[in-house]
Amino acid sequence: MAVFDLPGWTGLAPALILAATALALFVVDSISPRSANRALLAGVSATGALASLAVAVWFIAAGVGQGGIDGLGVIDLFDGQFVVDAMALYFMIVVAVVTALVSVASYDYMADHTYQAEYYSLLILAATGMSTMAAANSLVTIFIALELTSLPSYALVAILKDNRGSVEAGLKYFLIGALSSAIFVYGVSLVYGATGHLQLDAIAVALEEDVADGFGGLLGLGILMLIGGFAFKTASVPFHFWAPEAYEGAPAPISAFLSSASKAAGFVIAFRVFTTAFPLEVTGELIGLDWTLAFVILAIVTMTVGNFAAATQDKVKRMLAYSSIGHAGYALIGLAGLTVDGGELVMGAAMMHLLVYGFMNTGAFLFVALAEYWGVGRTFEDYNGLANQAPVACFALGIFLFSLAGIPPLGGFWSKYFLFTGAISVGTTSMLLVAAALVVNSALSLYYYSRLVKAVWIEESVVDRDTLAQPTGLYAAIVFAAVMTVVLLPAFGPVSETAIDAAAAVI
Amino acid sequence: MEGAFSYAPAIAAFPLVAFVVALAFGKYMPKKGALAGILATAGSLLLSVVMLVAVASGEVYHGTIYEWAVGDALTEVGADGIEFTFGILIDPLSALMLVIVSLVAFLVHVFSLGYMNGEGETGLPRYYAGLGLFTFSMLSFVLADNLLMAFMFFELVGLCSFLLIGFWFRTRSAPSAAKKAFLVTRFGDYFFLIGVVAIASTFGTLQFAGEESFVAAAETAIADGTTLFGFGPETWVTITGLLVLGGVIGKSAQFPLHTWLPDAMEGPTTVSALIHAATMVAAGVYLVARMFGYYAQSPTALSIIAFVGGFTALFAATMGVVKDDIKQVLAYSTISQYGYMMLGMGVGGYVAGVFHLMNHAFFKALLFLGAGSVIVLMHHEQDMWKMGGLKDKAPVTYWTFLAGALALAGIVPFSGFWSKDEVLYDALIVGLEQPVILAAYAMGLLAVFFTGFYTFRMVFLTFHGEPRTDTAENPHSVGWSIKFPLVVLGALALLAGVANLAPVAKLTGMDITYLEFWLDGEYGYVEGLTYHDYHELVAFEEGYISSETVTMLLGAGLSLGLAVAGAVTAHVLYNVPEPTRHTAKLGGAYDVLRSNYYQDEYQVWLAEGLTLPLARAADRFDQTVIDGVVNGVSTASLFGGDRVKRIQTGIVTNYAALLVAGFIALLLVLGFIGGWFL
Amino acid sequence: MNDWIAIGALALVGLLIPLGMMAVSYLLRPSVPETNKRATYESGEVPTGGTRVRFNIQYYMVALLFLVFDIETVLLFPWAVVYLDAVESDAVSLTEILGPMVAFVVILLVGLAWAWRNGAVQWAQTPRQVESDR
Repeated sequence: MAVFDLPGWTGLAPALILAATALALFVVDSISPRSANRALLAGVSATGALASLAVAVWFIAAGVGQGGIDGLGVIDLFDGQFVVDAMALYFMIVVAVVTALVSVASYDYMADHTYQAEYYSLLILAATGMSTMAAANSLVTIFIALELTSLPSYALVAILKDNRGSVEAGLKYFLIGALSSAIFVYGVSLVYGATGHLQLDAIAVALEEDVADGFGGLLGLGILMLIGGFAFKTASVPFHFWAPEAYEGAPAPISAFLSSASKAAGFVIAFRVFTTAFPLEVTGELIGLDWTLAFVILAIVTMTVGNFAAATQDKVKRMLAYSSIGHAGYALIGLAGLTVDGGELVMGAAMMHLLVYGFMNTGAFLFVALAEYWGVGRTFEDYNGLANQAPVACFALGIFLFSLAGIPPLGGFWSKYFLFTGAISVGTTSMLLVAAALVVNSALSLYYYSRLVKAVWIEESVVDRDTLAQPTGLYAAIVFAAVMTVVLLPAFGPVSETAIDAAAAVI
Repeated sequence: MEGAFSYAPAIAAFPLVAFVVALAFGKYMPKKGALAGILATAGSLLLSVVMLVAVASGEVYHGTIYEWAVGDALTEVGADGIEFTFGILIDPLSALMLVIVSLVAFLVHVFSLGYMNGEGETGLPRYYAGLGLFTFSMLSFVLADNLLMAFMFFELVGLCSFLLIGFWFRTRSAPSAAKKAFLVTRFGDYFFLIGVVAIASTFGTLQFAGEESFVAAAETAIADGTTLFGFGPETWVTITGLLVLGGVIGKSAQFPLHTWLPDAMEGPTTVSALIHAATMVAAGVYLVARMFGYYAQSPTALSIIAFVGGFTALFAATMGVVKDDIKQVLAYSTISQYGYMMLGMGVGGYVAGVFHLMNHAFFKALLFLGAGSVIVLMHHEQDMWKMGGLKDKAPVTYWTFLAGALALAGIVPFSGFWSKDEVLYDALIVGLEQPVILAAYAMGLLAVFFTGFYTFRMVFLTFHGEPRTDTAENPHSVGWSIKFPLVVLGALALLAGVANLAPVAKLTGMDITYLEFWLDGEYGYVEGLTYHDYHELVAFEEGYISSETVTMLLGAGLSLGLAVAGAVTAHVLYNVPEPTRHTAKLGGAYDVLRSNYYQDEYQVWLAEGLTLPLARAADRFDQTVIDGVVNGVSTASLFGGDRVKRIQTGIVTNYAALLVAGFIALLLVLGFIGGWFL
Repeated sequence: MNDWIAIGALALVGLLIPLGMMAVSYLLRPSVPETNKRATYESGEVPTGGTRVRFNIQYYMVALLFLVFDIETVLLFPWAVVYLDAVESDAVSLTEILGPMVAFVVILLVGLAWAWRNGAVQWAQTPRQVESDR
């Protein structure tokens, strides 16, 4: 493969392609700022996302990030500020897929809105940030990527300028985001203070060499603050307060984007920082406890709060928002289950869950986008009987929801199943507790997911509706997501292999 | 001969195809699916014979067709994996059984042309589909190379019997009989299932044959003295063996689970023939023969099998004495005869048991088909007191039926004599050392008298004397499709005994015990599944009265004498122009026998008086406690959800405060554990 | 002795000193209420309005643009200083020196062009004017 001959910086190609796409969108808009060619804009975004996806897949197929004879090894860039390994590429794929889906779906959703070009360029810029996050390998680059993701996200949430909910949500998101960023940066400074390094490998080395002896409390506080930053990005309790409102107020495709891609990016960075910079054993000796404990607590609280709050919602979008918080709790198991001598199984499971989640959750939010496009309303009652008018989309919705609930044989079942068995196999009391929480919460989640399915398929419509339009872009995105949710399951072998390999490589 | 064995699955597949064809297209076919069934069973018969020839030429086959689950499991004996497969085992035993089953099934199909089609029944596609599925299940059961596959088809056999017994589902009695058959055998199968699980979890394999079999594993365990689930290895083998035996007792209608079988006479007579001769009831005994190596390792289990068999033989025979319905008599004779087979198996007489299984298949199919023929003759009248004098009006039916009756009664030289005598001889020589077996033998011997009596009572009442009703005067005529199977089976009932003329062989010293050679690996054989392997395993000692030959002659003379005595008694009482009931002579015993020893009554009481209240209590528990807990959980969850929802106040300053508070709480917890504040 | 005791003491003192000063001045000062004391302080000038004035949003726009290009200068300046030395040395090629900075400037130019074309530097348009321009 030709990857050998390319200069090192092309390792970041998936992110760079996205950046170039964003610039191209600006150029397009500069040429004709007063006319919005929606097809062109959406097309450019989708093409860019797909190109990024293709390159990332190619890299993985070519063996970037894999050791051994056929592997090309991990690509280190800019003195270790960035690293392109299997995990980075895996999450670049997740981000690119979701971005492509959202771009296609937005074509219809944003039909009558102003700020078309800005919308797409912000979207792609945020995607660039997420993609960069996947490869970031130093606390500085991590922070920059984090901000590159967050700032466009704030604007995107508030992009419906005439909608009070949207603007309010954007502002809240921004304020909580600023607070969380502040905590994160403070954490970075404390870690730097304790170890004298920002580059992740260097931090680990410094910890091994006992540089931070005597600064256990300082380091612990720093680590906890870093966790706070990631918790914000992944919408984990107690940094989740922005999520229900941002997801509800934002345009539905953006909700899909934030709850899938942005969350995945938050997780990849958490995975990388905690596996690379803070080896469990050394760090544990220094700070007096395993940092996995923090994640155990966060995982349990997050899934419980998310699912319980989702159970009694009236509005579909808000229900999905809380369910998204619940799923963050599931994915946190990946970090909670790390042990001194392993844990790649459970972390791989978390990565798988994020991939499957990328399809099923995006799909579910896109269905909400479709409903908003139709203008049927926001509550469960408003969705009653939609299956009569739009059976295909509603069938897809059924797939998404049952997959989210973890019903076999859909993709969501398998990733949850792996998480569960992974958690059990670790075998400590706390992990058994986490596994139990996972089961209980999944059971509860089935309640509110099936409520929506029931509304759509079984209940009679409250009002008489005319036939509903079938916007091509939205439909295509929904159907594709549904197909992927189902198709992922025969493909689960390679996917789980890739995920577990990627997890094993960083641990 | 590997090539021949590759067609083995087709033996079972043909009837399955017939089932599908009859079900889907039966309505449009000229004989409503009969032809498909006949063709399929003829094909199966042909292939079975090919298998038989292949085995005779010294080949056997044991192979896996499909592996549907492989698991890691730490079993009690330390094997660390288990495979669940579908496989085929063709050894002398299964090859023989295949021929028997497919032959009987074929003849029953042919007979059905006259019995069902000829009589203008409706719902024939359903009937032939049922027969096809029944045959398929039984053949697959015979082919099975592991216990789990055997169990599956065992269950399927039970299901098919349910469907066919309840064929006339518009009557009141047939559905009830079908349900009874299903439930009673299910009760036994419940233990069978537990046995399968127990064996799987103990030995990690369910194979019948080979190094990997549970039989071999059990042998190793006993040799090593491994403790299994807290029991000694022999005790555990006994326990698991007896659990599996539960299924056998249910299916082979042994005491106390025999009650379903007489009721099953509600099905078409052809179905009864199939059930009794070759499929359902035979399945139980076949299973014992199939895993005989396992039982052979547990003298306790064998004794129980023998005793239950002997007891059932006598018990059922006495009940058969007072029945008026021709099919009822045959039904009790079936129970009794399977008792003999169990007795034979139980005393280690593997060859004798299989021999009797084979002979019984032929003569019982013959008798049932003969009874079917009589029923056709009599315009569907089954009460023997309304018959009489059919001898001259239906000679083919009479002579073939008589051959079957002689075989059943065990009169020399008909096939039944040779096999029954061998069973009793094996029981006697073991019984001379084992009092329990001796008791079983005594019961078996006594039953011979009753067998002779009720058999000939049936023959004389049906065929001899003067016609007692108008229909008996002018019987309906029967066609070739009825006569042909009767003639084939009649010949077999007469001649099948030649297969193993053990007494003759012992007297003359000729090597003519072919069946014994067959099962003992003279032809093809599978390691560990031969008669002498079994014989070495069985721990019974054998004794003789003065010498082997004397013992044999004594036993044979005794049983023959008793059989003839029974026949003569019947002759005296019933072979008169105008026979009368002699029930008064029995006194109080008559009521007991008529009521089948009140077996049904106590089982009904068990169901209604014991199980029903228990079930009600469980239902109440479920409705109140379980549902209450479930509803409580959901209410609590929703209430909790409502509370959790309220954290989200909508005011961003509250969020910031809560966020920081949460963070600080986390900090305090972790800091406290990690000791950061010291 | 635990370090935290010293820290706590310091925090306590740090809190007490300003509070104490305020309390003392509250006790000692003469009380002369007057309206001028409540007026906005504008370096001695006569105040023209309250503190809560609305600024035009475009101040922020200009401020943001200024910030972007200000930072660009901060990055360009050190680069320009080492540029000649880097060109003369053989350690790095010209593309390696020039390339990143050109890319950086190009990105900024795209941004500037877009902002310009979208009217970020046009002053004070009412919504109606924007509407008529579109």
